[in-house]
Amino acid sequence: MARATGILATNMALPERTLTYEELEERFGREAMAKVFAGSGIRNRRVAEPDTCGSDLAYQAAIGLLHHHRIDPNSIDLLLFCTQSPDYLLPTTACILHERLGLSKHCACFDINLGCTQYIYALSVAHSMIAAGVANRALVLTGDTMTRIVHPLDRALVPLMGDGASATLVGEVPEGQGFLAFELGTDGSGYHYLMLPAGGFRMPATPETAREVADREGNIRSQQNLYMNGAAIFHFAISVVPPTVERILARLSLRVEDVDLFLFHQANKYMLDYLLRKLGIPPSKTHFYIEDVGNCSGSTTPMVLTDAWRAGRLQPGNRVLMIAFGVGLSWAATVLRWPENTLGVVPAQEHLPGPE
Amino acid sequence: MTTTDFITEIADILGMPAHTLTPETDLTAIPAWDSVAWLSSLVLIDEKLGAAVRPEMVSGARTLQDILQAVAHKLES
Repeated sequence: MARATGILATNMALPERTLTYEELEERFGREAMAKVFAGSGIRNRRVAEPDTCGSDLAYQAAIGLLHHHRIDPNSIDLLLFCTQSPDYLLPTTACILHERLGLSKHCACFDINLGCTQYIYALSVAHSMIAAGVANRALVLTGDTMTRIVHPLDRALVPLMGDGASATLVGEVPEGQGFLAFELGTDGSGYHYLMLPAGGFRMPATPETAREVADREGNIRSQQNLYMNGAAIFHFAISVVPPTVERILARLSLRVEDVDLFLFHQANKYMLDYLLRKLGIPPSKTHFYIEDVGNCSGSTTPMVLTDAWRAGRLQPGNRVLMIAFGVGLSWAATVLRWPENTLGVVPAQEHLPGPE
Repeated sequence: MTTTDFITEIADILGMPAHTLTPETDLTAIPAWDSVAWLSSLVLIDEKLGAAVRPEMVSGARTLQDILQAVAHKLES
């Protein structure tokens, strides 16, 4: 019989520096920033230093989790690093983290690169590998520095994006607890709505791809900067999220009323408020963690989970639904029964040291 | 929702008096017709009309008539 698995511990790591609302008022104007805040709910965002990689932040989150819970690194036999901002195109950054964390040579390590949905996808992989007996204890890390690929004069994206990382310990839990279902999906026809066009093998970086262009709203970017069609992504989210929530709940014969906490990918508060309305979810049944950290891409889901846990919102037996959506285009949802045997969330630390 | 109601809602999104908007209004000439207005319009269309429209029908609209045509099947005559 397949083993039940669940989340046993989490931690997160944020860069020290904050790019403030006031700084962006200077850059883009008061009226523009007032609109951005009204439309996104993001006031401040954490920004990594130029020499900090997503893996550095993930390392901080991971080492904090291992030390706090006195976990022997040799007990980890699966490391998944979720990132769209790897240290190198090759080798996979998970192997670099393997060395930094002092993990066993019997540990499987690989990256998962799916932006906003990568965390839940990675949880499904960890769950599947443990349930099948391929692994016993997984460390699922997320870490991105997307602010480094956003053009500083792109008013559409600078105010939204932030940097951050997380660490999650996944392991066996009592039967009937932990992950109850996963719902994963893709619509590749929309891949071009959220992308970094140049720098890969399809379009290598050249002086031409570095040429800066203004779009019709005056946002500046080159093909070597992150691009997002906001209207298309918004439309995608409000079209895909409600049926996905309904589908995963129906599979478990659950209703919205049966779920104790809904955790959404923290993309944009205006969107999330609308999704709550559309799904009939009372605001008291969700948690936000976006105003002072921004949209941290693939780390937002574990970060909002960690913040909710620190706020005492996760208790053994709680039914939790997590859902994420974004680049690809892709989406992922999971429903969990919060397990009894968690080790606990790592408390917040005000200051994290820089890279080693 | 009637066409008049819909135009009133769009005017509200743009912060303009409803009587100043007509189907022939050039949206691209209105500074408030920006990405924030597009998102609000998509919510209006989704929530109040239950209509599935391609997002570029809103973000790429030149006149109000372009949007009205996209949602005509959901408006009361």
